Amino acid sequence: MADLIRRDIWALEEEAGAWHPITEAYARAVGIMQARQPDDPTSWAYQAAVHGVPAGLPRDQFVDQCQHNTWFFLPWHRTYLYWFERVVRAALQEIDEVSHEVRSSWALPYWNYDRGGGSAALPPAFIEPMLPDGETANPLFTELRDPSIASGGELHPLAVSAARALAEGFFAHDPIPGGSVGFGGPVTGWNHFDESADAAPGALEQTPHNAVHGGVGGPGGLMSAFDTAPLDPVFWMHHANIDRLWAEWLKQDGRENPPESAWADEPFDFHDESGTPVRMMSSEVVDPGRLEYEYEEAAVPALFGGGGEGMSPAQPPPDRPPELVGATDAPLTLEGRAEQVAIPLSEPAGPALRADASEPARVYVNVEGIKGDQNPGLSYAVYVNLPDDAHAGTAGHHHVGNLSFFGIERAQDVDVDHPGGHGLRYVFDITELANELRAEGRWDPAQARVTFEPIRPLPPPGQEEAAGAAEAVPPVEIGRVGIYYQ
Amino acid sequence: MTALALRRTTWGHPELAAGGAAAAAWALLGVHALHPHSGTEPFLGALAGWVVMATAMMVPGALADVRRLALSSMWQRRRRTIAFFLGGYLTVWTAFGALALAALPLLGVSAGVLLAAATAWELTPWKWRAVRRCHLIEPLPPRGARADAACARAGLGYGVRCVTSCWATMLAMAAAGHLALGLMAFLTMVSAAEKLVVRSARLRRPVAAALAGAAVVALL
Repeated sequence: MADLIRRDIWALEEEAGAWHPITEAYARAVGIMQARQPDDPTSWAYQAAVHGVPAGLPRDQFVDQCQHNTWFFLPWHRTYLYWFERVVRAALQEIDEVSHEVRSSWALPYWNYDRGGGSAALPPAFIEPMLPDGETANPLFTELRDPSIASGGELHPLAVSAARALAEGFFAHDPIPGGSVGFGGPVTGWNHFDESADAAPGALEQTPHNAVHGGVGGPGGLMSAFDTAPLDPVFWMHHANIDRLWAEWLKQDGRENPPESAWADEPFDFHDESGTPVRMMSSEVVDPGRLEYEYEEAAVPALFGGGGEGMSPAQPPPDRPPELVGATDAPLTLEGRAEQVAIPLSEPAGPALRADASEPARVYVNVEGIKGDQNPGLSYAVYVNLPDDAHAGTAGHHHVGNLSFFGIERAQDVDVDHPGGHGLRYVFDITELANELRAEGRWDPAQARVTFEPIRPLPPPGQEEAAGAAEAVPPVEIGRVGIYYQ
Repeated sequence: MTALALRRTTWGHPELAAGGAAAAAWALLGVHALHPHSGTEPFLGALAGWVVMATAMMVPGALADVRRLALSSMWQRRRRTIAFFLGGYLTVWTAFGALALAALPLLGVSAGVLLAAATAWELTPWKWRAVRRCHLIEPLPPRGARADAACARAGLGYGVRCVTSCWATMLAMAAAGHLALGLMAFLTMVSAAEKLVVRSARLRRPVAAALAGAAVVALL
């Protein structure tokens, strides 16, 4: 039994209102950390810099270290949360208003935005401008969020659903253009963001991780940008939920962490609560119990398709490279409206043709060369072969994932020490849908259509349209949309 | 290696042929170095030697990008993609070499002086900005003349960015000649590492120190 229980912040809210003692303690600890000097490793600013540092500021082995678009995404962020939680708990010891019980047992709450019943809205403690004493500014509040979310709107259900990620069968795959990246991200070396040409977000990083970042931050908000996201106190609740979902994924049959030493032995550098440097490896954080915490029991989202079997086949992808069978031949710009591209397909001519099976074992949609100056704070649902007469009841069947843009401002930044230049890349495994459409005689081997539809926050109660929906959306350029067979 | 394993390797590594071309270039230069011609080499001969040298030195660092481009192409276009891309890339290096070989004898600048210039360039932020820009390759159209043209453009752009990054060391090679195999090997490792190592700007000081050492040796 772990000593510390990370609880659902909405359960805390239901138990004691916005200011449950655990939530209020967090707010007060954040206030203390925000008052510390930025060069203090236990300060709020430094803890955020551990994730990312804007260009022009000094770097060392402790800051600008977060791992994204790689199989280190989950272990690095778990380690990050672990040391942050200890820093917060140490800060609580300085606060007289916090009870001894809370001080000794405080653990990071998680924001389970996928539990329904309004949980996809920001918890009230993050919206209140003042602490319950009515005199102290609430450190959990920031104006730098999406206007709709900040005023009580909810993240779109497609943006918060972990069902598709939880259905992934494998943690990681060797990266190869066009191919699957797995639950936790592709096999890469140390990859802060875009060091590897093969970098791409894993299924959990795609959604809900990236989608929630953009959805909460909106255009220009703290959560939307790589270097500012941890400055929003809700970042830590969001990542606790991502960390919980990793633990939930592992509870399913056949799911396991990578056995490779290249993953297990990767070291991560942090500071402990006294500001002393510490180093941990992935293998030291795979078991939350070893870190003396566990998650409060929560309902696991229904798996994709509702069958409990998971979307991904249990078999790994075939041992042959995917081959491109069709792609767009000109860039596409997304500016907040639905867009559709038609992709002419050819018969496979390489390994997929020579495979024993008459149909490809895997089919993927790749969205490549995604560029933009700023995260628009808006995700796009991606549909394949969406019928013209699709409605809410049938469109979901054609939904293959979401396109989000967390980190897009870094993707082509050549002023910091990252190679950059590849743009973002998303891979969606559409095997299940392609097989179903084939079985129904509705898969056209000569053409596929890919639709991008913006998914905006749901408006706050009493409002008809999400604030900002009519405003100009920062553009994002899609270099190419391709279909691969494997 | 069984035939099946060999086939799977070539499926997954279409860049092997380009790697083979670089290896062949090294072999050719090695043989040439063992049997050097006496006297001054005509311009076209020197330029041919330069092209072989550029292939030996600059293709290895580009292999990862070549592989990615080929595997992102239609299957039947993989070799064509590599040919157009490397064709554009080496065209830029050939043009640079022609200018360098024509200008250096007139300027009378030695390899040592140019290595000293390369040392200074290594320590500038512009050098590293150029290194990071090396990987900026747009996705290619899938088929037809548009794909060929985009692929050649990608190679030309890649070459221009690579020249921006490596002009100083390659000027030194132009002065030293394509038979200076030791210097060639050293500079090949440097340019490949700068392009491929994560956060390679960490290498700037050790590489600058090594270049300065090479400059001193060349000047003595």
